[in-house]
Amino acid sequence: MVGDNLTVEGPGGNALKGPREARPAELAFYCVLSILLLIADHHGGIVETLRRQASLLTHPVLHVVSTPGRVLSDLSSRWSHNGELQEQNEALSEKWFRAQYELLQLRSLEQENERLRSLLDSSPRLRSEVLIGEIIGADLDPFVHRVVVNRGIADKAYVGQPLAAAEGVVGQIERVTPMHSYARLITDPSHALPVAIARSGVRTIAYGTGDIDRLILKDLPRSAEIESGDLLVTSGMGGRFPSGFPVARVESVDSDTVEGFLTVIAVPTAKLDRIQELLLVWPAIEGPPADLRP
Amino acid sequence: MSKRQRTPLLAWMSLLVATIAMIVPLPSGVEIARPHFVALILIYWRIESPENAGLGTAFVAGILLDILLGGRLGVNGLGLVVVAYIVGRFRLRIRFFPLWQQAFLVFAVLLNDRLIYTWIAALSGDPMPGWNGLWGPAVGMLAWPWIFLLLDDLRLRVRRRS
Repeated sequence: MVGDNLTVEGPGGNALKGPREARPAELAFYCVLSILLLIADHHGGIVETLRRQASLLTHPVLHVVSTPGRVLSDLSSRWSHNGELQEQNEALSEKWFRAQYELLQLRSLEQENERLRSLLDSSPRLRSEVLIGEIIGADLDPFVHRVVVNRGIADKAYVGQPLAAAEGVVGQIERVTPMHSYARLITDPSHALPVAIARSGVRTIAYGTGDIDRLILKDLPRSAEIESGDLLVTSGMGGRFPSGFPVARVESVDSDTVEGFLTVIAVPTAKLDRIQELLLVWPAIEGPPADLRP
Repeated sequence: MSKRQRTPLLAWMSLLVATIAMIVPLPSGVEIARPHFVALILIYWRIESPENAGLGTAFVAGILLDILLGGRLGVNGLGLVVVAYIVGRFRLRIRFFPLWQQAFLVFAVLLNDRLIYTWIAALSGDPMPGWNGLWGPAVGMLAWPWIFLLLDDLRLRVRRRS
C-alpha cells in the first residue's frame, strides 16, 4: 500500500513530466477505507484488537516524548537540598501520623457499619481494589480532555474503569492497549458523572464543560437544596464509580434561568491539570448476603 | 540507486519527527495553537517529491497518528489523505508560487482538514473545536516557509551526498 508510488518515476522528478498524479479513484478508495474504519471503531470488535496490536508501534513515541519530563523530575529530586528533603520528610511523617489516626477511627466505624449491616440482613460492603498509575506527559488532542495512563491490559485495566486522585474523581478509562490506557477526564464536554450533594443527598448529573477546572449541573430544579461550598460526591448510580468519592465543590448557583432549572458551577476537588499520580479503582461488586454464600 | 533509497528514508524520518512533535507537551493555553506538523511535512513531500509520499503514505501516517492520540481511528487518516490529494492535484502550480503565496494555500488546506475533523466530531458526539480550531492552521501558515526551507535544505543535502 505504501510502496505503490515509490518506483513510478526515475531520478530527477521532472516538473513537467512528473510522476503519475493520484487518481480520484485512489482518493475514493482511501476515503471509503477511513470511513469504514471510523464506523468499525465505533462498534469495537476486530478493529479494536488490531488497534491494540498496532499501538505497540506507537508506544516508543509516547516513551520518547515523556522522557524529558521524567528525567527532569528525577534530577530535581536528586539535586534537591538536604534541608529541603528533611523538611519534606518531617511534613510527610506528620501527615502520615494523622492519616494513621484517622484510619484507626475509620476502621472501628467500618466494623460498626458491618455489624449494623448484618443486623439489617444486607450484603456486606466489599473493599475496592486500587492500583497506582501515572499520567504520561504527552499532549493529545487539545480539544478533548484525554490523558495517557501508564497502565494497560497487562495490569487488568478495563474500559470504563474509574480513576481517582487523593483529592477526588479524575475520570474514566476510554481505551486500553497492552501497556497504556487512554482516559477521559470528568471535565471533557462529552463526560457526564452521576453525583449526589453530600449535605442533602439530592442526586443529579455533573457534566464536563471543556474547562479543566469547571463542571456544570443543569438538571436541578429551583427548589433543590444546594449552595456554594457544598461538596459533590459520586452517587454510585450508573454502576461505574463506587459511591461516596468526592468530585467537586460548588462554586456558584445561578437561579436566573428561563427554563426553571438551576445552573450550578462546581470546581473539581482534584487538580486535574496538575495531577501526575492517580489510582485505578476496581470497584467492589456487591455480592449476595453473607449467609447465602457457600 | 542509493538516492532512491535515501530520500524516502528522509521522508519517513521527517514524518516520524512530526508525529513526535504532535504530542510533545506544551504549556497549557499554547497547545491549541500547535500546527498540524504531520500535515505540513506531508504537504512538502507531496509538492517536491510526490514519488516518496503517495496517498498510501498519508493514510498510514494518519492511522498511526490516530492510534497514538487515542482518538477515533480514521479521523487523521481521512484528513491527511484529502490533504495529500488536494496538494497533489495542484502540485505543478503550487511549486512555482512564491513562499508567501504557498503559505496561504497551506492555510486553506489545513483549514479544510480542521473542517473534516469538526464534521466527524459532530457526527460522533465528541467536543468540537469551534473558533479555537483556527489557531492551528494560522500558526501552520506562519510556520510553512521555515519548514519548507528546512526540509529543502535537508533533501538537497541527502541528494548531494548520494
